[in-house]
Amino acid sequence: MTEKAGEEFLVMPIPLELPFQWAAGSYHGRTLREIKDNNRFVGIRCPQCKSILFPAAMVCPLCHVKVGEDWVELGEKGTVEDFAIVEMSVLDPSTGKERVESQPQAVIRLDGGAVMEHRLEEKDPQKLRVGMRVEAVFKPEGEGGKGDLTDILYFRTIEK
Amino acid sequence: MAERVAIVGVGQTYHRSRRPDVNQVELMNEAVRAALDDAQLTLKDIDAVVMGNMELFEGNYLVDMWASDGIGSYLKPGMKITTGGTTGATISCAAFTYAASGLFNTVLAVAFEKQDEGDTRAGLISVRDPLWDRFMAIGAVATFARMGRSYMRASGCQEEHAALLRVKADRGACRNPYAHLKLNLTIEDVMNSRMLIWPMRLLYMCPTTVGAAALVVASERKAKKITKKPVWVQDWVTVHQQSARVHRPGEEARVRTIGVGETSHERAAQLIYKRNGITKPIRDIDVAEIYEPSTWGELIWYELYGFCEPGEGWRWAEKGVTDMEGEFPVNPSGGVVATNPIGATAMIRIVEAALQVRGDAGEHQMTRPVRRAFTTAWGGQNWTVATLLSKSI
Repeated sequence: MTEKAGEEFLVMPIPLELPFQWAAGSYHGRTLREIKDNNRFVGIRCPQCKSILFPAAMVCPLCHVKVGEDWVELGEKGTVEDFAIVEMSVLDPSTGKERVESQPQAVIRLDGGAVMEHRLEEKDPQKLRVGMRVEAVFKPEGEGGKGDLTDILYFRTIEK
Repeated sequence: MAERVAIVGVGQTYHRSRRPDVNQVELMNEAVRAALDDAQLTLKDIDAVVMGNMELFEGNYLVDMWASDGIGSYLKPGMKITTGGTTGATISCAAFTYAASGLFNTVLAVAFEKQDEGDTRAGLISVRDPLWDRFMAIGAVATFARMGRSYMRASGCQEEHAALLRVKADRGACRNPYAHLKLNLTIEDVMNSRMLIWPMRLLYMCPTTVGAAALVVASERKAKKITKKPVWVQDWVTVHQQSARVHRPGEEARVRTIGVGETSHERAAQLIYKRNGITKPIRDIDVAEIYEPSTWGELIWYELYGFCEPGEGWRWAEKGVTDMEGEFPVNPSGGVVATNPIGATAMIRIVEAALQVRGDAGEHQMTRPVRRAFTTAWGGQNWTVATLLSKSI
């Protein structure tokens, strides 16, 4: 908020600490744990409509049935369905501070069928294209994997 | 529906970037006064009040309590509704439902946003799942940029087509006394505006606006006593979209419309058309006021609403079909890219559509008669509110 001459504002910054603890539940929790412990993506299949839920969930949003235990490995490789090069400063949801999103963002279809959003390693617009093959690069062991999607550094181009 | 309902009064503030001359409550009161004056009623005539805005934008919890002094809800039944981008439309639908239920005869609906008082981006920061994709949240600009780019790739649309629609919006805004951005734009101005994320330029994105809107809604019997020009609410519908976490083998991700599978826009439009015998919108609807947070959204959503065929949106832009003088005018008010007090934005669509039906829109009134108007609202993680307003029942 900028102040113009002749106007008077009472500016009250609100430096709140807002600690939350979110329960993932056992299904979503397993998707996250597999990322952390085994560096792999797993979803679960709905017994009724056969859709894959990724991240896994207890109940299929389409059929409203409990899903059971039909876990599916989705693979760590996929195809870029769309991407955006973000050249502007954004507010980082994890810190609340400004940050420039330097990696292109992409919608990636994993070979196992599920779609996820993540970053690409390749920054050169000439080398980015829809349909390019990519694979997830996980943080090296011992570098603070938390069990969420930030454990994946980015998706790198698979050389043909 | 138990009772038919009509809009009997509409009001809005003049929309601006900043309004340091009034506080939030006084801003709401401006719109309430305008709507009551329009209906020639006073607060005594109001049986219930529904209100809302974007939570977190102004930093007030229990905004309905704060608002009471300005909207006249003291000792009256009502509720607060905050459904993100669709807030203004959801509030309106709640007022329609109240009046239709027979519980209340005359209902006031109030929506506002004072975006000069907080940080809009901070307010939106918690929209995504903290245990999944929140870290990727980069806001609406990037989302619509991605939509625009994949639309261009899939359809053959060029940037010029978006620029044509942006100029169309500005022509409307310049005729609308309440609009926020009135820029007298040329195609060149638009295409020289700052590039945010290809192909999203500054002018293709909605502004941050301060403003409020209000509606007075009444049941049929009451409406006919209140006004000679009731605007009948023929139908309203809300549709939420399929979760982006359900993946059906073989199903294409429809990235240009955000999401997978059928979109809430498609479902809402088809539902309301079917229920009201609309088989060809371009023939059966006279004007549309749609919620386009970005010009790129407008182009694509013509197709999702079934106004035109898939891939034809940019050709419509080229032919000027949706210009005020065109065959199927969309947003003669200037739309959301010109004016966006978020909590009120979706209600402004209904206010503007009602004015068109009444013939009271002034300089941006359509020249040919408006019998039926269609409005939409769109919210964050994809849901749609659509309404159909009519001159007769």
